[in-house]
Amino acid sequence: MESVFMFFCTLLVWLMTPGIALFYGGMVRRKNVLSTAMYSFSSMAIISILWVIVGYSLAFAPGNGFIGSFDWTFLHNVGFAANDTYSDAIPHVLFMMFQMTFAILTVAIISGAFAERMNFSAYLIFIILWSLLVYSPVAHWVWGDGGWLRNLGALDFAGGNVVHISSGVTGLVLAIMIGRRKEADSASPHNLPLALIGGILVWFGWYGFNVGSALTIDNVAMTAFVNTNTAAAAGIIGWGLVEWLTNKKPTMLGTISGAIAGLVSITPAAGFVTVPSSLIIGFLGGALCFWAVFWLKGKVKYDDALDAFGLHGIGGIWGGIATGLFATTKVNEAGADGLFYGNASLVVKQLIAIGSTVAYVAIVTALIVVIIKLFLPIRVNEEQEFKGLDLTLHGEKAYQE
Amino acid sequence: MSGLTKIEIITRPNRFNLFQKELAKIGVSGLTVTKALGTGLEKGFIELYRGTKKETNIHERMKIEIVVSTVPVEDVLRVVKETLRTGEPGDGKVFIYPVSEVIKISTGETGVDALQDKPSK
Repeated sequence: MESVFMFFCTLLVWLMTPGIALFYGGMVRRKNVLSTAMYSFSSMAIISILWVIVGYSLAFAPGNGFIGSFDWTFLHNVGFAANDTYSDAIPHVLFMMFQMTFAILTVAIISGAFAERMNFSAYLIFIILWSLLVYSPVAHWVWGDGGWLRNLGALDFAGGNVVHISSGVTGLVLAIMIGRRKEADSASPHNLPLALIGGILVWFGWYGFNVGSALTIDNVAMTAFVNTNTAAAAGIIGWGLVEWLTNKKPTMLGTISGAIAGLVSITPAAGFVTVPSSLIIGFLGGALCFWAVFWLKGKVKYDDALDAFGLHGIGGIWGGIATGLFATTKVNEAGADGLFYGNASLVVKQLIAIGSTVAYVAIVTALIVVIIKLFLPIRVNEEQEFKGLDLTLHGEKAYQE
Repeated sequence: MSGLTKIEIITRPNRFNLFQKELAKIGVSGLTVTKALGTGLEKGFIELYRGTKKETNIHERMKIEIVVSTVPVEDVLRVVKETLRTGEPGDGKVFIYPVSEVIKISTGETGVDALQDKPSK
């Protein structure tokens, strides 16, 4: 039964990346919808292959505290038999596939930051290097056999550090290094119903993401299920309320963004906190992400086109801290008590995990960008940007007259 | 003078059906209609995308072009007044021009004859 459950969860998480393609595709201008979706789809192609060749081994094979090893390259020794280190209930190869969907999704999330202006060739090289040098090590730190954050006792249930902080911070670094879009101020979404469909798929897939991270169908999995939905709903209310008060109107894009903010926020805590805590985490997550997207982005003037950092970076950091505050062993014996349950040290561990992830991700991402820039332009030229990337980079138009 | 007059009306799209019906009653059946965007006295509106405000004062309008010969221009203007006027900013404008010639492509008829629904005897 565990294997069927995990197979289903893997399929759900797989669906999140095409969901991101639609979600992001609807939020850009009509001349860039296909190129934006291409970022997600090429992540599915490139990372799928990279993961079975070496990515999974670097992330999860036994190694040192910092990185795995080459022992499981080309899935050598990764077969149907369970691997007790990760789960004694499901086939090792199924665990590998489940983790693959996370690795693919993380790259797709990043693409929201530089949509409408990054050179596609540079993007492909970037994601190969980034997945090997950033994703695999960070996944190893947090979840891998012998990973230093795992040994430290920092908690990350479903990828707050690995998926959301790493993608968000990477997005921010890229948005700053690539620069603002020429028409950033006048750009508005060309098809919000498309973004809505994508957002729904992402939310739907998120159940596989969070619930499946229990790796078996038990009380922790069900807690994660309830917490995930509660936090998403509370995220909508948190975002929507602040938006309504600030701008006098609640928007549809704000509603779906609030749900995603709530989902990001609960991700690291999903299997460690009670339902009332998930309500608070989701609500504040929605409000905080709105603040980041509305105020912070305008103040600092970086052009995170589709708010990869505003939602995933900020939401992930808040979720990591919240795990340190609200976690309780009453919910999950394998977890730890947080500050509100009398254990201040968990907050410190969470802050170490967040700080080290942010620093490592930011530095290595910047280095990768600098290296790529030596060989080819990382940004399209002005003419290409003006005409749109669909036509100039891919030779196709989303909508014929 | 050819006796031909072109009346160009820019107005809100939402009253077009009523306008067309009333025009038919005074004998005007041929219209050219274009979707138009424009700005005038009507106030703009604000679009909000994740808190990014985009102020727009370009409104959707319809441009209706009519060329008349036997139907008096005053009758058309009366229909405009009765069906299109709300008294609010944004009702639109009417422009009137003399026309030097009209040719019906299918028959080659010119002038007043070119504007009739049926070929003249």
